[in-house]
Amino acid sequence: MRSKVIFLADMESFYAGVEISQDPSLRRKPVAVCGDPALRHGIILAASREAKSFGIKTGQPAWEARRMCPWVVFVHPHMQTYIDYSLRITKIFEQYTDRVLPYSIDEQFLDLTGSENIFGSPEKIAAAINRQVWEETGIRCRIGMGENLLQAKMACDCFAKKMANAFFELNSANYARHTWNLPIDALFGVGHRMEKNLYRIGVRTIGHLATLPRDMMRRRWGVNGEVLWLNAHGIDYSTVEPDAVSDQKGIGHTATLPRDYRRRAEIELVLLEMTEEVCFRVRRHGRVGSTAHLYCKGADFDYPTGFSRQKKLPDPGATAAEVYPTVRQLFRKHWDGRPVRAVGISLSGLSSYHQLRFPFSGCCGREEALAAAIDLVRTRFGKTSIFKAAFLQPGAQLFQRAGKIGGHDS
Amino acid sequence: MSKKLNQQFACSKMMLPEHRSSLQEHNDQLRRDEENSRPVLDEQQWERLQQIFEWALAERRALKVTVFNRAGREIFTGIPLSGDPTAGRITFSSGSDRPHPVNAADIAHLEPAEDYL
Repeated sequence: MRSKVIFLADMESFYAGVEISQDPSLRRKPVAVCGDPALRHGIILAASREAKSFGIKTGQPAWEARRMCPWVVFVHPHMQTYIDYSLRITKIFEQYTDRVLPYSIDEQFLDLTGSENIFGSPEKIAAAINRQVWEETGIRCRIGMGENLLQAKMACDCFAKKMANAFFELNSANYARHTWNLPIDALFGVGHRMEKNLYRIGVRTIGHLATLPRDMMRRRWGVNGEVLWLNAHGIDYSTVEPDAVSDQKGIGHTATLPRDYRRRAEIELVLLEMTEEVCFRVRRHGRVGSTAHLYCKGADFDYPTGFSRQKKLPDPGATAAEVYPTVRQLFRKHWDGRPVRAVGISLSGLSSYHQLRFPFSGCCGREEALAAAIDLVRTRFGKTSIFKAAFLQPGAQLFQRAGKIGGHDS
Repeated sequence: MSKKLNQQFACSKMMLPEHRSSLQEHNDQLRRDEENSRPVLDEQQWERLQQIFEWALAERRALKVTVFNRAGREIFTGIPLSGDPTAGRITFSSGSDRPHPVNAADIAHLEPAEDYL
């Protein structure tokens, strides 16, 4: 069987690249995109190539970046512009294949199997894509190629970023030779916690993991362990399905609070606001959710506290009146009384509204009609056009969050 | 098989809701454009359409016809009454009093309409 040609295209310093493309006076300057330090968003979201040469990294506090490079130019994020650029790049990719899967705002998979006959060798296609993205958006992209999505991702993350031509190919024949000597945290899917677990059993490199029995990995870490074992061998069953965009497991929101919240009442107020926001989005998708998930992160960095718990709703629902009691119950049961820094709420187990909307015992027609009317007003006049009076109390986040994307200015 | 084992990238996708809805809109637009744009048919497909047309003309059977013209896409059901190869025109009876003439070159698809009364 002919092997597949999968690309992962990763945009270099995407947010910073977009800012420079929008304002050419920033070209060749050390640029760092970061949120508002006053609202605890003073974290570097992206740094230009020049800023990186001073050691500035994504995730670093702004003050540290300033110390490394006093003349760094800080730019506020413009999330909607980044989304627009990402979509422009998707459209460029679609000129080469109709099988494009955006993986994040700055990474997209392309299935180019069979395109060689039209556009030439994969190297030629990669060069053409790079050139076109650069000319049309001013963004540099790096491309990893593989016979499956995992190989393409590993080729991009571990090698293409360091290559002069920003391209690297991994395949089943060379995968072990190139990757098995890499440290275990370079393997896709290995996070900090898993890295520690693997260290504990003597696994230091991808090659070490590959020599472990598959059964042992599965017994110890379930499906996650088995996927890591497959990843270590360069095996991946994923496919590039453009429609997977609509295949959403859950809908949720997380937010870092502007200060540490200590009082139960003010934390519950934010939970109610976020429940309303999540329910609004669930309804817009014509869905109802069956499981509520609550995440709370403690304020103390040195003693990480918090919890992440979920609970099935008594009946599937998509209004705050149906969902919030469960969220509050989760919070009251698991909150240890310590200050909270970030919260997140999501609804999963989504099903189509029509499938499930039989007259359940707890389901209230008036609530639904009210929610539908409020949705209409909000869709037309914005999130702050109609809201519960409680959201005017100190600590409420509705007005701060309105008009933001991903917690940053749109 | 678990979804993670099958589609680990779909499971770990990091998408802002606003990005997701922009993409959804874009995909919907692509789908609409595709539905409204004339498909390019190869020789074999033309031959197949020709066979279906000749069968329906001889047997007086109804066809579901998809036509792309200046007005966009039109789908109707009708029985072919005659075909004029010189003018490249086919006339259908589509239930109304007046026959429905169609440029053969505008036809994108033909299929037997079993449920036609």
